[in-house]
Amino acid sequence: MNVIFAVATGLMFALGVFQLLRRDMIKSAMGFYILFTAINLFFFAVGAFNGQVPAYSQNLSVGQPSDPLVQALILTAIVISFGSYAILLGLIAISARRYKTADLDTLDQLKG
Amino acid sequence: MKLAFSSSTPISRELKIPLAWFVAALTGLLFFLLLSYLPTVTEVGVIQSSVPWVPELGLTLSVYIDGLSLLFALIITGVGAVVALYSGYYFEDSRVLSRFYGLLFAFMAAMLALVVAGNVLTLFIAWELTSIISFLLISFHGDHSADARTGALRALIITGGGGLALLLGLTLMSTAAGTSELSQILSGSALQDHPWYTAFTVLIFVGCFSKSAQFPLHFWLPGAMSAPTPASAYLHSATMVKAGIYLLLRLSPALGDTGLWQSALMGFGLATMLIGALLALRQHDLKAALAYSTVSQLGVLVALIGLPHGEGIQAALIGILAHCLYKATLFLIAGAVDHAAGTRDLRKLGGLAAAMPGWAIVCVLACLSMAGLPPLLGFVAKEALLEAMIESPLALVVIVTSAALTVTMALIFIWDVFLDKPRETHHLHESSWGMLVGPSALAGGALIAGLSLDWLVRPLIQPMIDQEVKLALFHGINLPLILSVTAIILGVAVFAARTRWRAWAIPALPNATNIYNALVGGVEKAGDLVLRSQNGKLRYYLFVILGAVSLLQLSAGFSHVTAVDFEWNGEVDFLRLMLLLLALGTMVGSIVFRRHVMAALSLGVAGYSVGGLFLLEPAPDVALVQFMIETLGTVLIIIMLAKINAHQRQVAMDNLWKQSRLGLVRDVVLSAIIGAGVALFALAAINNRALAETMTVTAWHLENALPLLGFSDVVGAIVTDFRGMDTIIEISVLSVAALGVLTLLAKPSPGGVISKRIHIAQPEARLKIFHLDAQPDQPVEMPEGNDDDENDDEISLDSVLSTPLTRIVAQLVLPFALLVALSQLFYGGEAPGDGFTAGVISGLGITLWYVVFGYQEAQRRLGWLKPRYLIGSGLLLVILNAAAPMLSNLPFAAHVNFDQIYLPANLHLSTTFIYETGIFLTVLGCTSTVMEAITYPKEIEPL
Amino acid sequence: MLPNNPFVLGPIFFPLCAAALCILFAHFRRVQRIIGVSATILAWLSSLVILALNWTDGLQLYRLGGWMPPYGIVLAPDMLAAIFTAMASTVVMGGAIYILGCRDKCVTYPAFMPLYLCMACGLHGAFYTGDIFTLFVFQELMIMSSVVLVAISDNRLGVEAAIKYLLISAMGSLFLLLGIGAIYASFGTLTLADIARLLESGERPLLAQTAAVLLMCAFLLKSAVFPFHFWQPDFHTAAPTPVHAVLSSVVVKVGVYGLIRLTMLLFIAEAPLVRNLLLLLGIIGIFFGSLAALRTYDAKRMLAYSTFGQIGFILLGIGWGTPLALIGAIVYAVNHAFIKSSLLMITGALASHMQNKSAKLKDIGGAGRNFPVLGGLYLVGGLALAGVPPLNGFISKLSIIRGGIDAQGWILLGLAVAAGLITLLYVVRTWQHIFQQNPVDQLYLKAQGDSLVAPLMLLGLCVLFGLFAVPLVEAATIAVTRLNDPQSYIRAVLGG
Repeated sequence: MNVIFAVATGLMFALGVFQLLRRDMIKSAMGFYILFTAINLFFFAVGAFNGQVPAYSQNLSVGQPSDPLVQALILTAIVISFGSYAILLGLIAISARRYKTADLDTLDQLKG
Repeated sequence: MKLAFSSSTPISRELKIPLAWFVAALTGLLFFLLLSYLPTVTEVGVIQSSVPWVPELGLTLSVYIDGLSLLFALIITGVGAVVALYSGYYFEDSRVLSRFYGLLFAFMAAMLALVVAGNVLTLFIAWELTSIISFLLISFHGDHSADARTGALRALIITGGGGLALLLGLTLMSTAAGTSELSQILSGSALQDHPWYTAFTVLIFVGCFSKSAQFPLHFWLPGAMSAPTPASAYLHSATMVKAGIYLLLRLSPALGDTGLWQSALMGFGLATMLIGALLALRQHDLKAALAYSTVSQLGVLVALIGLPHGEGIQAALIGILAHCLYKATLFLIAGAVDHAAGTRDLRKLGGLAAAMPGWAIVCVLACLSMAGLPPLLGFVAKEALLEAMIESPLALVVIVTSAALTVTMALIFIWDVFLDKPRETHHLHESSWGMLVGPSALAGGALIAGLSLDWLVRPLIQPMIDQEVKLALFHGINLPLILSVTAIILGVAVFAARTRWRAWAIPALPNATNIYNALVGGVEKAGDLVLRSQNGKLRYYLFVILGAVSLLQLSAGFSHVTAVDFEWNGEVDFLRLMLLLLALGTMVGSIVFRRHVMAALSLGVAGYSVGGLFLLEPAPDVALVQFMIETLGTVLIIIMLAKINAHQRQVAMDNLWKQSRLGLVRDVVLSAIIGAGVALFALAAINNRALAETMTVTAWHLENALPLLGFSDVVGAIVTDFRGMDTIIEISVLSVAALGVLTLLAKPSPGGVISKRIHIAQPEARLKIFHLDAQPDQPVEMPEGNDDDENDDEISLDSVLSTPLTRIVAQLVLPFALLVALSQLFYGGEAPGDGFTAGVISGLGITLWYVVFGYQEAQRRLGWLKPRYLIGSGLLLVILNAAAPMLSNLPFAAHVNFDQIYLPANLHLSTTFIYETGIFLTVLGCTSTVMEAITYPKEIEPL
Repeated sequence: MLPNNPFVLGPIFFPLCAAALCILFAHFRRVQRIIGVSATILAWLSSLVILALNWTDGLQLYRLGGWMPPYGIVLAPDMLAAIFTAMASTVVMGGAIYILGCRDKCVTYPAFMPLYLCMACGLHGAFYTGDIFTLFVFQELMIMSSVVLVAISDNRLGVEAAIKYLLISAMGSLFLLLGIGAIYASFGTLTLADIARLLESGERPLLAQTAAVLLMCAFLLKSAVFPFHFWQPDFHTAAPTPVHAVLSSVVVKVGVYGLIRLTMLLFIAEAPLVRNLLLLLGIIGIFFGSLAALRTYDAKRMLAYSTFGQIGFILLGIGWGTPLALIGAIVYAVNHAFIKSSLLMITGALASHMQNKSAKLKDIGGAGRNFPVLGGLYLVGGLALAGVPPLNGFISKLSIIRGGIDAQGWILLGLAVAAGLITLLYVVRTWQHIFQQNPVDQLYLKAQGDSLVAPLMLLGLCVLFGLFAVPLVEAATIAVTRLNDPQSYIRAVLGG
């Protein structure tokens, strides 16, 4: 299964990068979001072991629990990426107001 | 240095002259103090002492005084005294004078430090200081004249560049010698045959040549003439430009007597000598002419140092002495002439002898010394020079030529300035006698020294010369005498013919200044080229960065890729596969959809399906958070879309695919490369995965969550306890985001716009907290925004969603959400979900209110909710709860179980619970803050 | 096994706690400022304590929650981290003091101080933590707060810069996370010391090189090294002066710190590859930055570019990797922090006299003629930047040169020294342009500008570390000798 996850991670990265490189800021932000989803998937893929049961103490006897540490890392990563996503959207809203554009290629007053 | 400070306070006008005398007297005192060391040095040879400074870098504050240092120190103080006195009369404004004194004595201190330094690196420090102060003196009048600025900058760049080379050279040398102490370097091992010898010698040459204005680095010196004349006399003829000479003399025992040493010094020295003398004759500005003749003299000295077995040393020393005696005088005279006649142009000056007889006499003396006529010291110097150079005919030719030219120069100076009839009638204001004291002292010194060589000059230079120094005005008729006579005759002839050759258009020699300018220009061109890469296009930046990473990965090689085995480990889970395909498909959808809302929604679906994957992993906690965050994110972006002007979004959307086919291909290729790279990377990581039994950490977590924390939810245990700090910082990030969004979206634009008060009672009170004016009583200024462009096709949430049904739903949802939240809060240890999810859930409830009721009504209904306080108190609670155990000597963020407290429904209270509560409050605060901010009705910025 | 040292918590949790308080006291700017400044001072003091204890007793530890590493998170400031944090907290304190006297509009936003403190917390934490994932989290805190701080700055272009940086730094975070994931997969641990132990045990080295390069890229992006530099001039220039000072002087050093850790602790076997890349990128960066600084249009932007160039010198030191070179790199990093922050504050203080707070050369030309004091300070700082003795810049230059000679990297050394001349050129020329020449057209200057307390303090440090360089150099020497013995670090952290 991890193999599938790995491949899927790759695909998502490709999609994310492509989306990130769009001119439309909002699309670009979506690409940003895709990339961070992909990284979570990546963490699962490389997680310590494929679990059959949730990581609860009572399940230890039942079967191989899924790697809890990786889950904890993903939780943190999710929250942080959400925070950045929110800021990014806010910034886009402002820039649309301030610079009258939602197009990355015309957002080029800072040069030289 | 003390003097510098004492005199750098502004002084009143009448105190000017007394101060000048006082300062000069002090410097003279210093001079005699140093003179008193002469006997000791003559006996002992070297006075030295050393204080460690930065031993790791080989820096010590050590002193190394031998005859050479002493000679230079005497010159510095002697000429210094003269110049100090002179400038007292030269400067009209006492303020300017005190500023000048400050710099002058700072320089004197630095220069003295340079010549007595016993450590090459310390010496270098003094060296750089002299460059800097010289820069400041050249640009002394920089605020008036642009020439002063450019000249100063040029001088600084040349000497500073030389300084860099010198630093490198000296560091190399001291590394080679194993010490940076002069005494050990000079006495120590033979550096001449060290493998690095050529390298550091050349570097040191560059340094010395730049400082002592050797061809081709000579051109900064004439440019430095915009300094006040006393400074020119002191720095740019007598002392600073001799620093290079000093260093060469100093190091000649250690580095000298090699082919490189001789050829380089002789070559550059003679070239400089000739060029300087030639160029001097072509100047109209008196000071420029003097500067060039200084260049020529410095060339002589360098050439002399280049002679084998230090035969030239003696001549060089006499030369130094003679030169600083007459050249400083001439500069001072030039200053006086400028002062009196108001010009320094040789074409305008003339017949000043009548007006300033004293100056005329001094000038004649100095010029004769320069021309090398007996009985002045200059004559002795020239004799010594010719004698030293007697072996090499070529050198002799050069010397005689430039000597002749120098004679011409001297005659021009005497005749055209003082004796000849005035070309222009300029009213002279007489200069006071005090001004004349210094110059006449110097010129007289030249005369006396020439007459009494044995008991004045020999003692000064004897310490540096091994064999007995023999000095005499008249050695009898020998080649040197004949040569100097020829030189004089030639010079007179050239002078006589000056009207003729002045008329010639002499082909301009390759002008070093232009070369310098061209170089600087080239550097600037390069700079512009570089700056063009900063073109402001973010997509290009991202492309470069991602491409660079891919390239750098190449350098890491593909060892990991080769190890990847693509064998299918059997299990195929169709549900998961479906979810994956769904996720990917919807992501593609989010790319292709041409309406933002559609794209956002499909992205949301993608997120949900990923959440589903997590659920199947099985990772319920992650799945839960993923679902919630996904919901929140989708709502966020959709509402945010409403804040972005529809027209602009349309434009952006239209331009979305407007890029060259090439560009599209480029993007696709890059994405493909990165995707493939990551996939391979992940596969390799899986192959490379540690064996389950060696995964000590997570296994330990699994085992110990329950026994140590009473948590059956291991993930919860890790998040809240084992790795609790991650969570603390993570929610801080969330709070930062919330504050950021609020401040961004609810803040009037910098740069005032026509603004009006907003008429919402409730939110005003709450929003202005985050406004620039924190005074509660002051009402909020909201920029005028025309709301009509808000209603566009996709977004009019209030109208769409605000049906009675939804209202009821919303009413019901919030309390329910809070209920769920509480349960999660209490049973976070056992079931999926914890303070965080609780916060998000209740936050979602509030979100629904904002969405359904719209901003104003939601504000009215939720008046009791103070997000800001929630965030703050939540964070504080978390930290304090973490810190509390420290009171009872438990570590920070330790887990404490309050078992003694009995609670129903198998709740167990612990620090973790408080911690969770804090997180809950923070997250709730963050979500509602963000919602409040993004549903804020008014325009953020003017359109 | 080392005891927990509570002072380790100071630099991280004083600011964070103060941030929470500041959010509560959003009404009251004065209270906020008192809290903020005192928190930074406390953080500074505790970082000094940690430095001193490191000096005498070696590595300091704090096991959060009392969990033994590698099972819990451990804060493990060794000498290197202690030096960097002391430097950082000093500048952060300076920035906080500058805020008190700052006349920008944005510093009056109630969110400003909390964000600033969060940035400080992330900064210090990134240096102190001994856990690679926590390093990521701290960095994110730092990045997010700085992004917001820049976005709300008075500069109209702040938002543009923030967007660009946010998207670019997201790439950095991705690289970091990929690297962390690979490491975790290979070794199942996140504690730096544990990773180092397992890596040198030599089992499963498969991903080591790739992971090393990924992490290197992440750190290079953090410290804006060619070709990851594009965000830096925009982002730094658009920031409010105090933030700019912190960003451009110490925040960029997080990457430097990470690179030293990378080559000296984690990936020792892969270090040669990384070092060569660093040398290459470093020398490019030196010229790129210096040339750009020479020609750019804005005084603050010039300093941002010059940071870009100066980081190159530090990278050379790390890339040469010999003890002397590393000492040079550390000394250079610390000195540069003080020089750059003071220069930026001085420039900012001057620009605060302008009507539109612009530091564009065409506006600001000759504006300094009325402020001789500022002129003197600027010249001192500039000369320190150009490495003129006896200021601290010279010490750094000298130590880097010694390092280069020690490593025998002749060509790079020559190029680097030559590039020093460009620095001198642009610094002095800008000084002349601002403080000597006549204004192009009539200038209207405000009498009131930002206060000069903070820049004076930092500039004083520049002079001090020039004249009494021994402590710094000795500290760096100790740090490097300990870095060269990773075993003891590992043992100390894992308590084995």
